[in-house]
Amino acid sequence: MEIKTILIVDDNPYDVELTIAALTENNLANEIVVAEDGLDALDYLYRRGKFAGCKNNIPVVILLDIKMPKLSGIEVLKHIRSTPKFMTIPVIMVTSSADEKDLIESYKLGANSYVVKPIDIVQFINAIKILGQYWAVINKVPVVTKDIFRF
Amino acid sequence: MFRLNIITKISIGLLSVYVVMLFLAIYLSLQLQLVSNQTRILYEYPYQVSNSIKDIQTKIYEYANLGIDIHFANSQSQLNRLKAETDKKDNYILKGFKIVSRKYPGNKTSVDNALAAYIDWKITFNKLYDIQQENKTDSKYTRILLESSKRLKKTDHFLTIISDFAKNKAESSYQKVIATNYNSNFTSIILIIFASLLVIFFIFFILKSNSQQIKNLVKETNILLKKKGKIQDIGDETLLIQTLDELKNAYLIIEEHDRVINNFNRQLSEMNIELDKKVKHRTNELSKANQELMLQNVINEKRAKELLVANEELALQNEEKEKWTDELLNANEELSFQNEEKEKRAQELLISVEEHRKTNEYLENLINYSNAPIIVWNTNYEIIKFNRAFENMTGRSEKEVLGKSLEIIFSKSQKEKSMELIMKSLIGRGLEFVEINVVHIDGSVHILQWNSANILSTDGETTVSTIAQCLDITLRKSIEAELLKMNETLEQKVTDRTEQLKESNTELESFCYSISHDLRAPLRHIVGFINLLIKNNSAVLDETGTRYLNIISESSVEMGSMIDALLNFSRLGRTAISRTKFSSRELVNTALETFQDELTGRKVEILISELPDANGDKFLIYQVWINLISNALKYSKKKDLAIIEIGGEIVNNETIFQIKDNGVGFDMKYADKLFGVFQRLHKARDFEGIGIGLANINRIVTKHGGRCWAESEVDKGATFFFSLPLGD
Repeated sequence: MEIKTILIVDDNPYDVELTIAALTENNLANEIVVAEDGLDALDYLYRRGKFAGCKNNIPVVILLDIKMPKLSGIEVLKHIRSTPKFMTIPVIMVTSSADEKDLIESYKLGANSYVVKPIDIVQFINAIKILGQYWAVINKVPVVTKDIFRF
Repeated sequence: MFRLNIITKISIGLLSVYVVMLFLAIYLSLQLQLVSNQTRILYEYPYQVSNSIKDIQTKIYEYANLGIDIHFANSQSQLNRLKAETDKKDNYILKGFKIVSRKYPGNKTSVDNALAAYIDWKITFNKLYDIQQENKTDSKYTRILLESSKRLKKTDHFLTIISDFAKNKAESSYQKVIATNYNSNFTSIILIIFASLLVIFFIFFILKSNSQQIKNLVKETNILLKKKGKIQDIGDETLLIQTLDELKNAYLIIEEHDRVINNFNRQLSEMNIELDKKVKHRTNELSKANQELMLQNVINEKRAKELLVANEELALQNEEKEKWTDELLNANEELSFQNEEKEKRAQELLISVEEHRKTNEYLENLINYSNAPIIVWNTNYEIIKFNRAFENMTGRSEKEVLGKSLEIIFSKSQKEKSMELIMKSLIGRGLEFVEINVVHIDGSVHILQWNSANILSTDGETTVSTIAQCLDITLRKSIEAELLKMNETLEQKVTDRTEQLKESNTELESFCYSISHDLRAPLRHIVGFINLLIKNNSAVLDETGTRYLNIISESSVEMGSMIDALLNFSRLGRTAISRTKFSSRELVNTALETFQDELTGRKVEILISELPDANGDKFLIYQVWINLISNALKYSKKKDLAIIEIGGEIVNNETIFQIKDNGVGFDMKYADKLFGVFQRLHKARDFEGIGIGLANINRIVTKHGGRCWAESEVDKGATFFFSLPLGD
């Protein structure tokens, strides 16, 4: 069976831990990869830096925080959506902010979903459950071949 | 009997003729006398009246003319002449009036009035004369003259009435004369015809009666002759003798008759001759009377014509006189006005001379002590006046500069430029201000606002000298420069501030952004890890420990909600509103749909009356309704049957919406706190929520230019209102 990798991009280790807890509770994670910031996330996608030599697994979904040092979630999203190799990866913006500006920007750039991390952990777990089930299990992503992007 | 009859008839006839003739003669005589009288009245009375009036009017006309002459020439000698004239003619005029009064057949009042007016005028005139003798003021004299003219006009008026009447009378008399003439002529002719007829009748009558008598006699004789023929018998001889006797008698009678007839004829003839004579005489008389009458008529006609001409002339004179009088009145008024004006002028002149002197003094002082520097120079540009202000400003005394060139007050370098500027400013109306620098002997420079004007000679063209009044604007100039500098700085400051404001806005935004991110994260962690703690480490936690952790968790969640609410509130303030017109009814229905869950298990009656359309940001107003409905449901949840009424109306220029519940209400004492952030009038335990809803409503409504308020009483429900401007 193919291993389904979920990429969590978040600079806050507590949030990462809580997200992992939520995913685990819902039995969703075959493999969870954590990137501590935007650069880290791109490194993982391009298998470079500390991720050089990793298995070449394209994540089934990326849970992307917005407010991060160095490279923000929005910038990462922009890069993913402008890179043919990664543009079909479902990206869920998971963020502390309900800022409308971010929300609009995210959807404009092609985010698949936008979730505000609720303070109430129970709500958070529920949210992750729904997201994980949909994007990691139900949703089918086209297999990326060279032909598709040969415009 | 027969004889008697004839004689009686003749006598009666003759008597009748005499009586008729006598009567006619008397009648004729009376007629003639009447005609004569009327004729006399006709030409005598009105003519006399007219003449008298004419005389009076001529005199008065003369007076009036003289009056006008006097008025215009203001001549003492003429006035005296008029006085002498009026005195001399006074008796003559009064006599004229007396004649008119006696003879005038018309309305006597007019004569009396005319006389009264004349006397009135005379008194006024005498008064005038007296005043003139005493050399009193002109205006009074003129006024009197004016008055006298009015009186004169009044006299004239009455005289005209009399004259008109006389004219009419003369005309009617003339008509009467013609009628009378005609009557008398007619009467004379009738009389002659009648008399002739009478004579003819008598002759005819007498002749007829004589022939009858002769006829009778012949008849009797024939009878006798017949009888004689029959006397063949002797017995008839006596009868014959008797008859012859009778015949003899008859002849005698005839003879007598003849005699009588002859006699009568003779008498008749005599009478006829006499009658003829009388008639001839009367006719002559009548003819004479007629001729006389004719002559009189001719005279009368002539008189009447003259009278008419005279009257017309009189009327013309009257008209002219009226005209003169009017002119006199006008002239008098004008004169009076002129006199008044002259007096005024004289007084004004006196005052103005004094004023002139005072003005000169005043002007001198004004120039000398004026705060404004004033300088006067002549056509050679030599200073002829230099006031104190100029002395102070230049450090030079007036004595020192008098007669010197104007140039000395300027700096050497600016001398030419300054003179040129002054010349230039004098072209045209000299209202132009120029800026001139004047130098003090210590070297300091004053900037003057210089306004010069040429002083012209009486011809209004030739320049005599030039005056300049100045305003020292040295200080103003420096302040202006400073102000200019300050303005420039201010501009910079405004730019800086705007920049700062922009910056602080950006800061605020990033501040809110970090709050929402960074403040929420720790809370999320607290709640998250407590949850994990309880879940994973329940074995090491006792009941109290678990409870504490739950409280921490709940409080953190609440704090999170408050942060979210605050962020939302702040965002509302920053959001720009986009107005549209929409149906409030639909919006309220949509809002109500979101409360379906809350309504389950509760008895709530929601009454919505007519709702006017609203004009505003549909999404924001939707939030207002959500908040209001939520509040109404929340605070009425303890009622068995909650009743919520929603309504709205247009009042003046705004739409007012309201929502009423029958919930717990609130004390109006705290009504002002109602719309503040995190302000709560009820315990959190009783009603959930953090107290930001009404603050949000207030922010939205205020942003729309509307208002919100509430009315309530504890336990009697509350009504919340909000208004929105009607918009376009």
